[in-house]
Amino acid sequence: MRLEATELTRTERDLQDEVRSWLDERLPEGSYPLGLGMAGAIDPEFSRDLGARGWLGMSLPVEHGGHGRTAVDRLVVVEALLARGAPVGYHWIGDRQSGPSIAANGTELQKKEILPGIVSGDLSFSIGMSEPDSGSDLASVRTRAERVEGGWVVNGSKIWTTGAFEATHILSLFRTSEDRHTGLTQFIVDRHAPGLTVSPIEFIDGTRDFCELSFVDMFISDDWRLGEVGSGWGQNTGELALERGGVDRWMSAMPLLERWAVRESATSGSRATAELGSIVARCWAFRGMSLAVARMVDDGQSPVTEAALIKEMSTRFEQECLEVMVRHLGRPLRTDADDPYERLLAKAVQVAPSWTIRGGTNEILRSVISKGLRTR
Amino acid sequence: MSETVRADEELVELLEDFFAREVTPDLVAAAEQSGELPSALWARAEAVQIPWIGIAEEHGGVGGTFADVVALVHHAAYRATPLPLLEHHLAATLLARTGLGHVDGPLTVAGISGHDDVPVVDGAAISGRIPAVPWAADAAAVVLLTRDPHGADVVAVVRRDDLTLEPATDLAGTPVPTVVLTDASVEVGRLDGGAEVFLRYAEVLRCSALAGLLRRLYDLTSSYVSERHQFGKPVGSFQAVQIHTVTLAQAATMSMLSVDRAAGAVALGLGELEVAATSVVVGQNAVRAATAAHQAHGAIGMTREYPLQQLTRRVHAIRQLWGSLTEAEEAVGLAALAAPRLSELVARHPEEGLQSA
Ligand SMILES: Cc1cc2nc3c(=O)[nH]c(=O)nc-3n(C[C@H](O)[C@H](O)[C@H](O)COP(=O)(O)OP(=O)(O)OC[C@H]3O[C@@H](n4cnc5c(N)ncnc54)[C@H](O)[C@@H]3O)c2cc1C
Repeated sequence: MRLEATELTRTERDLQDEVRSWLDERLPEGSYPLGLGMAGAIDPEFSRDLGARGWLGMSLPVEHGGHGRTAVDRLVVVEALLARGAPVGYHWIGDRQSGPSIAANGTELQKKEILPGIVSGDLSFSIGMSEPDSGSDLASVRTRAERVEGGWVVNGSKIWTTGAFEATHILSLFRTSEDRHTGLTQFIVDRHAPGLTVSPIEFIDGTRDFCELSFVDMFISDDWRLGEVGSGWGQNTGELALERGGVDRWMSAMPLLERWAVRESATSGSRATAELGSIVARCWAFRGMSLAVARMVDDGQSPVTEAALIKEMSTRFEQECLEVMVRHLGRPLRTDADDPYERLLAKAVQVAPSWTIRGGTNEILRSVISKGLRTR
Repeated sequence: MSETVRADEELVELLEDFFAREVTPDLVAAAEQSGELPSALWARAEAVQIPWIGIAEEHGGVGGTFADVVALVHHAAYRATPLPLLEHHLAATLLARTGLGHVDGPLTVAGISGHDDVPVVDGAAISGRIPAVPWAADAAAVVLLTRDPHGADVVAVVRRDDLTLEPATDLAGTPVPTVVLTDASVEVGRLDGGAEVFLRYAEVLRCSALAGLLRRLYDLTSSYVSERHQFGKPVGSFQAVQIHTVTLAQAATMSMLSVDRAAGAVALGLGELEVAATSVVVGQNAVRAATAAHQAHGAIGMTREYPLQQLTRRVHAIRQLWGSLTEAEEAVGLAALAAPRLSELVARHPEEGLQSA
């Protein structure tokens, strides 16, 4: 596997400057809860402000309110946001994958109804894939959509649906026939539809973004079926390059690293300097890989294997970064510490195991990579 | 798009073919056994002008971009080629940059390593010892990067007849004698622009050699695990073995991309951060890859009959050739401590190296 070296163009660098200056104004230090990458706080107002700047749904088509920009442009924006630990929770999924997936597979009606809301930051999406008995083996999902007059009736449950409580929509994968892969179809589900109950599940750090969905005879009009009946599996796979190769897979700890580097400069010993250097060098390398993958996407390719290859190692790297910082702190972490750095580190240590689980576990990714490499 | 760093496609094809055809594991083993330069192989490389890629015509070369040289070193390393191609190129580059004129090859180079104190050159003669000079016995001249008594960076050329050698061999079986100079006559030229820019150039090429070895480790291992059967199936079908091939693919992919990006920065005359970061990631990846490749091979990989060892011994021979991995890590760490924002350092364009330089 070979990735093509690329750097930002002049216009892309102008965008980078613009986003950074805007963030200096909009998110002064201390004015927002520091987030860990894509798990940043849910703040619809911030999402709408970003939308107003034209920095959401950037690659979506212009006729549906999008900006017709590139995956690299989006990378530039997202990188600046994650570096600050910005509150990206409300728009994250819609901007990253649901929007592009609807643009690629949706009907005119769906694009007209949904895409402008993703671009403006008014809509919030969740991913309804996993079920209590279907995790890694996603093709085994059992939540069923049965055909009825004018639409479908859904029964079953979804779980680990991040952000569903606050979301406006859930892009869901339902079983429409018994065929393992071709019996799966995607639907755009209204979060507030009668027959759908959303219940938060308390996460390890006490937060409540994780949710369980229960569908009891929920009716959904056929207008909200995304793509052909039976094409859900393929569409799902198409989302993966968007989901896995991005900067969000190595930047979860960036706000911590940023602060650790500052603390380290006061107390710096040569071992800490070397460890910091090792971390920064790898950030630089991962960033080059994410950028190369974004260029491939803009080139019309679908770098699914590349994205999996990056995610598998960069999520382990994120965990290694934490370990270095925890060791330098050298004492038990406290979530009630006075120091905001220590509080965030304490949170990170609790949630970090999820980084190598969410979006496909590392074990599954290794199989995906191996298969992808063999068929080259 | 921004500057491209791609090597000429026809050239890459020529390099791939040449090294695949000429450099067999048997040849590599025979060279190691004899302790001498395989001069017939050097002559064949000369015949297609491979040693002169990237040296301008006015300096006796055939021209080419830095990316072409990166490719040359990569493909030579991919086959564990027992020739001083990297050393010769660096030596010829120093001659070209100092205007010392063309010297027929093979050449070797000294004074790149941060490990050793090299003798200072004063006037037209030089005395002292330089350890670990690759292929010095077979080279027409040693091109030494050193200083004059005023501390200026200079290049000194010592002809083969003017030096004596104390034999030594590195982990890959490459002869790396100590060069002993006793009032040896030298030609000296001043290196304009200083040594630092040149050392970054050299470092990218060393990393390119490692990246070439890593790509080969991946290729060799992935084909081995698909052929070797245990429990009635290829060992590569076990997930536990797939971890090793995935590790190798990651190490090779990340290393090659980083080398290309660093080369792009160096081609702009910049690249302080980019080269140091590349040294770090390639150095770290090299060890992980060597370990993974051996583990996936089992006992066969431990034998001299099988070519894996030719690659992994080379990895160990060059991974800290001119400086330690820890020093490279510290260099990046210091840059990070000096930067206003770590995330912006990571995301910087190579041209932004100008401001900080
Ligand atoms: C923070 C977080 C957020 C999430 N958000 C969402 C969301 O918004 N929407 C959603 O649909 N899902 C979400 N998920 C669920 C996520 O997709 C699943 O956790 C993941 O796919 C793994 O499934 P599982 O947890 O059931 O583990 P299991 O599949 O039960 O796996 C248990 C262990 O077995 C291993 N394993 C399983 N099968 C194999 C195999 N074939 N080979 C080797 N090892 C195997 C796994 O790697 C793992 O180590 C989220 C998960 C987390 C942690």
